[in-house]
Amino acid sequence: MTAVCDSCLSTIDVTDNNYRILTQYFAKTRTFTPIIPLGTRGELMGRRWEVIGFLVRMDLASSFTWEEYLLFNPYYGYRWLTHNAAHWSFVTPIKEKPTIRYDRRAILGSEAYRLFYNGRVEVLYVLGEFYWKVKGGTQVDMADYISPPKMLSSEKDENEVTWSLSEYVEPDVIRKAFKIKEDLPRRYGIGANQPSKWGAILGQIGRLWVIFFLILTFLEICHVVGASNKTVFSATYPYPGGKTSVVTPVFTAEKKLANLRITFTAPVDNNWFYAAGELVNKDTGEIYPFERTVEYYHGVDSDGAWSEGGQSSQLLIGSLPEGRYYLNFDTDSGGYSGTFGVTVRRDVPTFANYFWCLLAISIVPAVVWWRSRSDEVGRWSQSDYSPYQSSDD
Amino acid sequence: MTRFYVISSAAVCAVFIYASLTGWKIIDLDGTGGSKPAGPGHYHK
Repeated sequence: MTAVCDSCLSTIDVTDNNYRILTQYFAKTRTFTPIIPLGTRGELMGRRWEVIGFLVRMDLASSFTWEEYLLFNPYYGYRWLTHNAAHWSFVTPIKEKPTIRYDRRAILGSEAYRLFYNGRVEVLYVLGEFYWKVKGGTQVDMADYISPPKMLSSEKDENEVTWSLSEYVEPDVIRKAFKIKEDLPRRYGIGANQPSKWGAILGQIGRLWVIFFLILTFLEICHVVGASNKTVFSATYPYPGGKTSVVTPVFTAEKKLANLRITFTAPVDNNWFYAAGELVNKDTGEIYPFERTVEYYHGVDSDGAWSEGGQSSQLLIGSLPEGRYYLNFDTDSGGYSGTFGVTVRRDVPTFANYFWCLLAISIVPAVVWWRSRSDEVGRWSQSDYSPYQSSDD
Repeated sequence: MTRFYVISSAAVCAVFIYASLTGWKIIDLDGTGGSKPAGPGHYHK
């Protein structure tokens, strides 16, 4: 057992009768100030803890440092509080040994933890009391496996491997627990085991999306099955070519409000047929202008046979009131002559609304997924074992 | 966010039902207008 004097920073073996000084701190000029002063008591995770030790550790490969506070309760023993890039975790030593799988996952109970960090660390600074002999310069091998908000950590020295399980704690909880008056350092980035708020709702939003998708699909089926799709006018006209004018007989569009589809057909071949005019309500005089082109081209070139366009063209007028209507239009063509047909259908089934609504209900899930993924990419950018990086990176 | 999503998606379903019943085009990309002859090569290059 050791204690480090917070005045002269000497490490003392308190089990030695002579209070042998293990080491004068190797770099007195290099000091760290604990955010939670030693001796502070606070209630965390439903229990009262006293901060009795403080140490700073450094990853030897990157020189990245973090702080660890040793907490003590005479009934419950020791716990740790880690402070890493302004992210806090409550650490409980565990006796169970997790199973390490070939895919760098640690299994503890029914939960899988993914390897996040593996490296050698050194104690850089130490202050307070500890239940083992610790001094500046002590090195161990560490590994962290995460499953936010939890993290499994192992420490290995020459004698043993110890495991601990930590849980992410919001900084505000720490501040209130230990009655810290100053503002805690601002978090930057997302912590290794910090739960993503977007990730937390992604599953919920995803399940809701499936429900709304099924509802919309059911409604679309009802719409398609229920549409009367009634032909209210159909005629074939001889077409001598060039500009002509056509006025159709009056037809009746039933149903108070429904769509109306006008389809022009012409057996054009490497040619076009054009109609421009309006649908006229005979009773009110209201007009619905339109232009349609039927054009069909085909041929063979160095890439093989090709074709484009078709021999029909249609337009859909939405929310057309019931009434008596006729079509009044002019035609033209690029040299085509023969016949052309006009068909008018009332209350036809459509799919555009269904797809627009699917798109609308997918926007929020897409944003949540994207934000959740950004969080995960940010989290794993701090790791050498990121699943978001290819081996070429 | 979840609540907002439930409310907005329920509203989308309501709009869909209204559109299905009245023939309303929720988004009318080409209106009732249309196309003029484009000639060959419009799509095929």
